[in-house]
Amino acid sequence: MEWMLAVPFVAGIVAMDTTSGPQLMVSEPFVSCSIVGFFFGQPEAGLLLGIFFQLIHLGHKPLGAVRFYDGNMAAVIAAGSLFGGAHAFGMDAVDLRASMIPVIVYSILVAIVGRKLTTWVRQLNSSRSDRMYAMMKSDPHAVYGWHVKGICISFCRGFVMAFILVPPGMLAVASVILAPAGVRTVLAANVPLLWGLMFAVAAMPYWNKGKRRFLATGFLGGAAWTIASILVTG
Amino acid sequence: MDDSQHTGDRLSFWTFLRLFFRSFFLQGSFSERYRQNMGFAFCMEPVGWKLWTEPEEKRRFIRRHMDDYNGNPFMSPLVLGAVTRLEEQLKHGEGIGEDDIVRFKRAIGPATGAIGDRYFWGAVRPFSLVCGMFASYYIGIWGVVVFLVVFNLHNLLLRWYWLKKGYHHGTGVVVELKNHRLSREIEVLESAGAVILSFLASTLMVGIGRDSAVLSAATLFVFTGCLVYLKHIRRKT
Repeated sequence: MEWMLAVPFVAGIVAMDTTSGPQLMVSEPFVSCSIVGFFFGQPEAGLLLGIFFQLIHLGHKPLGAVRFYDGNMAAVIAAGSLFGGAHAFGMDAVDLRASMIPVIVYSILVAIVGRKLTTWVRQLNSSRSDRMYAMMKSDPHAVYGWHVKGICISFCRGFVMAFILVPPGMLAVASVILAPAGVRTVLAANVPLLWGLMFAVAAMPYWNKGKRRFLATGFLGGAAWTIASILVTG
Repeated sequence: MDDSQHTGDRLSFWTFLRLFFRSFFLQGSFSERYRQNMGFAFCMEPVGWKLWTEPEEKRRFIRRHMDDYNGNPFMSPLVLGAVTRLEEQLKHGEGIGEDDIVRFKRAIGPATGAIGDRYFWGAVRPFSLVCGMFASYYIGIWGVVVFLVVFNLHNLLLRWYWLKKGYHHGTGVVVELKNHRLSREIEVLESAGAVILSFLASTLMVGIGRDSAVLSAATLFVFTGCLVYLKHIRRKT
């Protein structure tokens, strides 16, 4: 059960990397979900889940002090819930695919919670800044310790979020087992439809920037390439 | 005195390196009211302790940099380097006052936000992600490494370049903010990102046809429908 500590640890790193530092983009869903999948011996499944979430958040821009829905934490907690639930409840590949939809719904709730917590941490940092400013009169060297504590607070936020929110997520994922086998099969078979939704969301920022010709060119090129390869290989 | 006519580098390479590594944690204590103030002071600390020795001088130094500050974190080395130069000029009585440093920070921070946000969040990050996702279609999990390498090459090299530029130019660094190469690169990255994303999208959605032509058609229908709907929502707002 090492994953019960590994997933919160990864979530802590994600929370830290999202804003506090070092912002090397390991917090992106594409990376973090792959890492979580790797812990459960399913790196490719983690990669696929990561791409799903990443396409939703491709146009996301955490500019300045804007209060954003925490997509990074949502993705890593969703990954922990999905793979943890599959591991704990012995779900097979069909159940795992069918659980994609409840896990995406759960991730929306996590993103909202993440936003609230981010706002709370920022307000906490404001009061910490005031206290640190007052302390400077006696110790100008205090800034190092106070800033490092701020970084640790970010890590702890992610760690605690995952520790608390992954278990209910696992239950949400496992609820799929209660559905009839036919329903699960239909859900699993229609997961590819989500690609259409995700790619449309991902393409919108480029569409809004006036890159329609480039989108059309790439789309037609990809379609032609795929059809040609299907025809050649049979 | 023209900031570019400096009498040679005064900061040691080790202090420079510490400034560089600390710049990655500028947003460590990001606050609602003061934004990146504590982070800026944290980054500048090695410079301050090299230049200022008296406790009262150190207090004044930290107080200058605990002023509220908000800028793009990836472009922060440009500002840190320039402010380092100004601190040296202040120390050596080269016509720079404490208020000049504070005013300079207040002016240049939002400027780096405008350019850096568009460049890194709007162009480099999505481009690196679509490259990684495209690569993962062919090489699996190693696509993650492709993404991290593409993004962090930009990140690390530009941070170091801007730190040196800022240090050499001081207040003259505003010229770097008008660099048209960045604007051109944004255009190229956005266009390339659009092509790669849509190529990947059609490859995946049409590729589903290997197993089920009906599912592939349905996925393409969902894609087109969602695109039209999202465009409609945007037009309404």
